[in-house]
Amino acid sequence: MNCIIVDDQESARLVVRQLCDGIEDLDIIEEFSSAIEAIKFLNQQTVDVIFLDIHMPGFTGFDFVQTINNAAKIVLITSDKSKAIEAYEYEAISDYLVKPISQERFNKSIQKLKNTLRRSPSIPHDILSGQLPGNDLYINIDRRLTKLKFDDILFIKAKGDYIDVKTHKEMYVVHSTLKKIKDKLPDNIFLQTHRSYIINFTKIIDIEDNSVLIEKNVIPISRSNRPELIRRLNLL
Amino acid sequence: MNQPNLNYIEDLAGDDILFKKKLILIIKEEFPLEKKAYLTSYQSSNHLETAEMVHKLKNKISMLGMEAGYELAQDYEEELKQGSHMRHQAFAEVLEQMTHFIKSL
Amino acid sequence: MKKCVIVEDDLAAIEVVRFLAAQIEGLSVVGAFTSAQEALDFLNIRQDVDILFLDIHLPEMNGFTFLEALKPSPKVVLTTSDKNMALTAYDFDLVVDYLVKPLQKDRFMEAVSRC
Repeated sequence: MNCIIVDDQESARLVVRQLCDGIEDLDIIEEFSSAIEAIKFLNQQTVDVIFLDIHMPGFTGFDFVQTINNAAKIVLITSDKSKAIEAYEYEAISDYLVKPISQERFNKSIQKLKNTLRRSPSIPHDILSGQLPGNDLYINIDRRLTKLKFDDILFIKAKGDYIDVKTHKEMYVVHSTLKKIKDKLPDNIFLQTHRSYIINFTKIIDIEDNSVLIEKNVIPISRSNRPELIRRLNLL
Repeated sequence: MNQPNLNYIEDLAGDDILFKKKLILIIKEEFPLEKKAYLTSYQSSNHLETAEMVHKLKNKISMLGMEAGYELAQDYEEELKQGSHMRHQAFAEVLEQMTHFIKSL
Repeated sequence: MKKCVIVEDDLAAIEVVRFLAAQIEGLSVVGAFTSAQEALDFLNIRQDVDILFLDIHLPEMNGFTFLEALKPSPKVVLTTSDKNMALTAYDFDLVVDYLVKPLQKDRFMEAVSRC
């Protein structure tokens, strides 16, 4: 497992390093004293685990968790006992360790991570290849939770307080915002092309200057989103 | 929000009248028993046991949307675990409010 | 079809979880218990339960004691009015979520989607 440590205190990072020492298959590839630097790194590279301090100057650990859109699991490390309940709101947070951390408790945390990764194998580091774990999106329609495969979704359009989720056969109207659903969509399949549209990149049939064609639907591309679209196309 | 209300239950139920009625029926059956158990326990001055009773009643308090009552119950539960029961009077009043409200359902 | 079991200390709470579970396609309730012991007996016989909705404060035993007695365990969603047990919950591998009562629909669905 590849991991990084994010903590503004060097002594704390050293402790984590020490705890990791001697654990098989656990490699610390980088350390960061600033959340911003860590985020930049994570935009370029995927890791399996992030050891993260909750309290950092100007940036809480929870802000961090919300900002990164990464499949990495997060282990929170903190002196604060009171945030555990909030931590449960984030599926990406695998564990919550209160300092001082014993080796025994740390080992347990690693074991938990290994079990989780074994159950759903992590994203290959090459973003182009393979299937993602968790291929489904759960949406709430008429108070029933319906499962959609990512692969079936063509595009999503914002409509006021609602979004339209279009699959080949259906159009689902869901009470949500584009922003909320974006967090649940894997980066390498979905792309926001416009303020009101997110598309399934793999379903593009044709491209014009300002729009893409997905099945029979013409989806606009805004100027600001074009560069990212081109970049993705070049990678195909 | 101090007064008992059906906001949470109605919000949860949506159109499902059957669920709403069923839940209210269960609350009507369970609450008097739980209240009685609390009062009996309070009389016996077995504080730890009384804390359990208060904890149980918290469920109903929260279902009936009584935020202040809930906070009180939390504090009272802690207090009982520490060995005193000064908040009984305030808590009993909350229970009375609930009794009247539940009777009216 | 995912199968779940509900263990709660009163019937009203069971009713709420049952109701929420009924709204999820592909999730069925195969057992509901107010007694920790009965639930343990049931789960030790039936190995095909996927999700356990468990209250931390049960009359006969603490929910964590319950979890320690339960091996193997399905994935667990804790439900409780107690905000102070989340830290302890993290000590248990199979606890995937911690829901504070009164249970809210969207949070409940999020919890199920983790299982």
